[in-house]
Amino acid sequence: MAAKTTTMIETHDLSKAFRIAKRRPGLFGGMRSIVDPEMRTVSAVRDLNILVERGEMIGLIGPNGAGKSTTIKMLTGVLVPSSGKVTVAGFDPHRQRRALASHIGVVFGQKTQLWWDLPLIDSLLLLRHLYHVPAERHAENLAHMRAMLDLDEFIHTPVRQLSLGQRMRGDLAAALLHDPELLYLDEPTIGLDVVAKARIREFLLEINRTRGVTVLLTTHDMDDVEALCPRMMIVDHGRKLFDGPVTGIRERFGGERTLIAQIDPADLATLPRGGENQPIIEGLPAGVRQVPAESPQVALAFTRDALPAHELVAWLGARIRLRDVTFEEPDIEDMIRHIYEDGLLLKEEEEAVSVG
Amino acid sequence: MPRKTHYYRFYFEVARASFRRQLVYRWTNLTGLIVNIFFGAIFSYVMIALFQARHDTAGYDLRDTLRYIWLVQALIMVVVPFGWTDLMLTIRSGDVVSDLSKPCDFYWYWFSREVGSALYYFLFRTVPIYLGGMLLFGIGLPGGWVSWLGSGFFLLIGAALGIAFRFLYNIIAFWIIEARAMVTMGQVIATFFTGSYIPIAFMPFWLRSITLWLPFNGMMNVPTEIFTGKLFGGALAFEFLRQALWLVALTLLARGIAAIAARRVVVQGG
Ligand SMILES: Nc1ncnc2c1ncn2[C@@H]1O[C@H](COP(=O)(O)OP(=O)(O)O)[C@@H](O)[C@H]1O
Ligand SMILES: [Mg+2]
Repeated sequence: MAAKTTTMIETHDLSKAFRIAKRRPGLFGGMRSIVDPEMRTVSAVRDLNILVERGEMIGLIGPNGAGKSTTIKMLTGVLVPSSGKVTVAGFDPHRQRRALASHIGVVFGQKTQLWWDLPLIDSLLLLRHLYHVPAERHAENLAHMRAMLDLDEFIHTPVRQLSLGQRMRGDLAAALLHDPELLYLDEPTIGLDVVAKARIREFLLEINRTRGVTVLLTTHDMDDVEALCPRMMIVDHGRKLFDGPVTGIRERFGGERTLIAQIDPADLATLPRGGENQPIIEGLPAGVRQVPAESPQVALAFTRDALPAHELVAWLGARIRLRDVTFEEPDIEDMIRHIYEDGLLLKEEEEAVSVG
Repeated sequence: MPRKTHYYRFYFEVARASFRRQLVYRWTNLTGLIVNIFFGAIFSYVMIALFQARHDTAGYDLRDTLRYIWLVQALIMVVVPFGWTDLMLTIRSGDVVSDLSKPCDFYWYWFSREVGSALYYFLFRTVPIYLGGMLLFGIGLPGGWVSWLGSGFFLLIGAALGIAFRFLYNIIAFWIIEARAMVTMGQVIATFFTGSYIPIAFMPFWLRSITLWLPFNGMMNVPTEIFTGKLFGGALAFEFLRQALWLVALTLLARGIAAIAARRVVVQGG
């Protein structure tokens, strides 16, 4: 058994580079590539330092290709780092993969560890034997999962007939039946509708609170992180850009929010038209710019320090009649662009040192 | 250590789950059954026609030949199931990564799965197909308990050989993009050398001499010949030695290649 320290995950300059063969163009190039492949190196993860305490719930957020899945794979031990050190629950994940396996649960959003053709319950029962869970303990955990995740309505249905949200609930139960102290979730909400997302989030909060399970999840959805994690890390191109609290994160890195207004058709006709026949709002306040939208909508992007959202609505409403307004929050790509453009990275790195 | 019993239990449960998984595909299996019976009947008529000109080939009379034909149809899915790409598909989809990271042995995991489905095929193909042959062509059953016991035992070896072999031609998908071609090739080689097209006893001498030394001989020909009473006594002991060695060799090879594949996944990420 690993000693019970308060640290759950610790990495030091963790890096992973993949070597992939590059194909030369043309027929002869293709043939040459077979005998003499030209290798290209992709740095998926670079010098990542992570420190996660027991009981934390932490979000790893970044756009596609940022290196999130690669990081998770190194933390479970299925991928060996190119360089750097990593310790999880007191184990070296790669060298002690088998031993670590019973301490962690893993869910990959686009994969399933359930038997496709069999009722969900069959997979859940089989897992007891994989992890050598005592029968009573397993029964207790299963009853708990059935109640918390409402599995009963579909537990006897073959997995292939389940909706994505139901299957994710099944996979969550499967990952937790052996009482892991740490749960990795790679894009757990990908492809789910709003209701299913909310349900999964509620469940994760619950197991983190009541069972003390440490949760590390990756996502490219800011909402996941805001709903779940007190702390988050932003990664891009394999590098950590930010590591710190989630509160106020949109205000700091948010870049522009977008107001989308549904214009009354009568007023829409009175607006001047610009390129591609887009209606134009003239004389916008400073810090507000119009972005393309589908008629009869008008979209205005604005920074937080330009003016409060309700003032912009009032300003617009005074000029034209509005049917409806909605706001779009900046997504992770916007935030990262903003971090780069305004050099926020350097400032935050100094802060990260004092935080962690 | 009380854990040990648990350890084997998992593989047993995997085999059971795999058996139940086959039960789901009732209609597919029923169609397969009909196809096997159809081929059995066609081959039987061809052989009946041939035997009108000739009464004994390589020590096989008509009834032996018909039994051989029906046993091939009955056993083929147990030993070399058509189009088995289950492992290859997990390599393609990347699901293999999670299988490799399970706290169990990768090869024995797949082995157990295949044992489960082999048992299914034995009950729902082998038995009804042979009964079909009995009804349609009156092939009957051999009498001696030695042939029942012997063929049963060698069928276990044959099934295990078949599992190791198909594991091998599937796991190639880690290195070769056109793994489907390899599956087709593995399938054709196995079907030919197990004697499913031409009984091994009917092959020209030079080809037969080679074939008898191959593991494919142990998959179907040996259990079949024991069942029909062609193989007994000292020859049986020799076959046991030969095929048991193949079984050990192929299993070690399969596990060795699985270990190399696992290392590759761990370094290159699949
Ligand atoms: N097995 C692999 N071989 C080569 N390149 C890979 C492999 N896995 C991931 N990559 C590359 O590493 C980078 C990070 O990928 P990944 O960790 O999957 O990102 P994310 O999960 O954040 O979307 C990408 O550029 C991806 O193409
Ligand atoms: Mg990913």
